Amino acid sequence: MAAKRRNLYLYLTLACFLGIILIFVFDGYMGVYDTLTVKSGEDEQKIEGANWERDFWSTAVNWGEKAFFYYEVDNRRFSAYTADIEVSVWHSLEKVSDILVQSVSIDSFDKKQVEWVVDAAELVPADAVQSQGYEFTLYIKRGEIERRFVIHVRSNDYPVKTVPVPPR
Amino acid sequence: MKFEYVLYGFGILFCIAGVGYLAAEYVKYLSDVGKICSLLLTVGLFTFLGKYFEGLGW
Repeated sequence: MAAKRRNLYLYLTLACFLGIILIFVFDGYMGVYDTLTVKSGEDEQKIEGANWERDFWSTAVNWGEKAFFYYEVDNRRFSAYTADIEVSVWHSLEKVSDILVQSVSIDSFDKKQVEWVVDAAELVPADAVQSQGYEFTLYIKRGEIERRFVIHVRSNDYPVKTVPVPPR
Repeated sequence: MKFEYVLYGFGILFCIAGVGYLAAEYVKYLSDVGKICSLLLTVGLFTFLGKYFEGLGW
């Protein structure tokens, strides 16, 4: 009888441990996650949920070229998710332009993607010198969450190196 | 013989510290409800484990 009770305590201990692991897995999966994919020139970057805080994200765009942004919001909750997405570009603490203001409503366990294009030619000032590079900050605001992404506009003098063909 | 037990003790301590560190890192990403449930289950886990060892005569 005592051995049975002792084993019961052991099983309950194991059940608690499994419960903790299940909570870690389940809770880690649930929530609202955003993913930003940026394509500029030959470069493509994908920034996912938890990676936003871990690193400094940026891309380089050649003068006169465009960067394409795909922002996906994944609602892994049992209820619908509604938020306003505001995208704007800033330079030296001054707003350069509003790129997008859109309200999104996502059903439970569903995704929605918002796209926009940033034209480097429209960002730089009219009297800008093309031999100079510029830096802009793109802010993506979704409800109370704010993401920051830096856009480097390369000067026209950016050296394009040709890779020599190795001799055979 | 006693030296072996010291080594066992260090091994167990490092294991607990490692698992504790990983759990503490992961807990940051849990929701409040998840944190409370995990805490309750942790209390339950140590209570039942204590009862088990009590039954063994420790």
